[in-house]
Amino acid sequence: MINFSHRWIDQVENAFNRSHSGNQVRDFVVINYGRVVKELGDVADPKKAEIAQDLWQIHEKMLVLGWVQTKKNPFNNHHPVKKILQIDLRAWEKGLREGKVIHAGIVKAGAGFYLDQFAIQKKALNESFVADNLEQLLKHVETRREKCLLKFDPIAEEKSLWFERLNIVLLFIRTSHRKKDPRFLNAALKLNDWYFSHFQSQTDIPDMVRFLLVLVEQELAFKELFP
Amino acid sequence: MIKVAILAPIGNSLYSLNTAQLLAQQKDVQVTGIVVRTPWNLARFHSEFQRDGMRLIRKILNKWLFRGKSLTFGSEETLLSQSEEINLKEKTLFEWAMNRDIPILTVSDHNQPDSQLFLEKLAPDLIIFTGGGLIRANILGIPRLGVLNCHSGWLPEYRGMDVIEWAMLEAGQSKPEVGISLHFMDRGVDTGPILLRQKVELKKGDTFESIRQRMQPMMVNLIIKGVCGLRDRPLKAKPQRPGDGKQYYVMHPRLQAVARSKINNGI
Repeated sequence: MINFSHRWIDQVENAFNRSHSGNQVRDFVVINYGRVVKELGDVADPKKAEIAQDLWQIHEKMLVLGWVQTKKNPFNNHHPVKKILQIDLRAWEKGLREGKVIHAGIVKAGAGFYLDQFAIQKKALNESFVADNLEQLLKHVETRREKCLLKFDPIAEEKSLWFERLNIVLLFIRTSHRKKDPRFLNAALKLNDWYFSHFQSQTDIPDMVRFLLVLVEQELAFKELFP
Repeated sequence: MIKVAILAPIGNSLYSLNTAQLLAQQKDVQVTGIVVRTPWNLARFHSEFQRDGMRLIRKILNKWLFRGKSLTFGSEETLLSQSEEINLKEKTLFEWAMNRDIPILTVSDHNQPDSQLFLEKLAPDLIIFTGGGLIRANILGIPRLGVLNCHSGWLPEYRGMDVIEWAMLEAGQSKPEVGISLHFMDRGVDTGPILLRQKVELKKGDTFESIRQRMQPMMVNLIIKGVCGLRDRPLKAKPQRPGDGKQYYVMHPRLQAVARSKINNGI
């Protein structure tokens, strides 16, 4: 009776398991990268500069992961990337309530992107600001689970909402790598599991490209933390 | 004499029953009352299922239906063998309390007003938390000495959930920090002052389930040691600083697989 119950639970658990294995992630990325490259058309168009930049990064990272064999990257890395000025960072920081990126469950727009920029600078002044906010974001994701990252301030439209969310996942992945702290990779893996269903039926290229970038970075971080 | 009240997660929790039985056997320790959480709460089940998934069903089956019989590894002490050793006859806390004329209250949440009122009337020196969700300030402030909890992780380093798995995952060449910690509860998660700790030795062929099984009777014994230490006053709790440890959450299956492979390979 006891063994039967546990076997039954194992089966139900497998049936409801929504986590994606490394192989499933690889297949999704490779297939959708190929599709996007085909559909994108002329990448010289300045409006597509950011997408081309992401695609260049995806290709480089797929090479490291051994997911593509062609060393020649079909994209080049010469698109102008917007320079982040110290003044932009400080202006965004000033807009925070009590220095917190999350207030009453509402996340400050730009949190993923700007916290990553603060972390890259490695200034002692920023350290506790970044660390405290990262812990708050982690707690928000882990306790609200699929109801996390729903509201941003200022209110994000559907299009930028996905960018905001994916930038937070990227922040988590890069933090896990920078600080060798698997708790952040753990949260990123969960977020990506939840976001998979959205992107399986999603055709919007910029969002898809950003999601693919998130997934390859996740797999790289996983490989580096647990070789 | 030290007066103790017990908070329990369900009426037939063997962990709570063994704790109550052993406390009652101690000299100058009086169990003055018990608050039991009812298992019939759909909202709570929903929120815990969201967090734990099928693990919750496994836990319910094991604790509630099979009373710890479904997980037995080797000949080590388990909660079940401990209950036999300490001559526990009762199957539920209700029977146990009734046989000793100890007041018992069933609540849907330990923090609700009637639970607070019941505990205030008992005026215990100490509350022993043996499970049942988060405890809020209205309950934390009642006992003279505080609310004690035994955490199945090594504090202050490993706070929160799945801490055995996390300790294993993070162990490099060194031994993983696996142990149990008796601490006073505060408003944070496992952040209150530490009273006692005990390392748990890893053995060949261990699994996470076998480690947990081994820990449970040890946790009961550590609670008893802590209560007796507070009764005799040689024990002083050591406060934790926030930066001394990290808060861990439910581990993703892919990381669990890495942690499991580490334990299978003897780290």
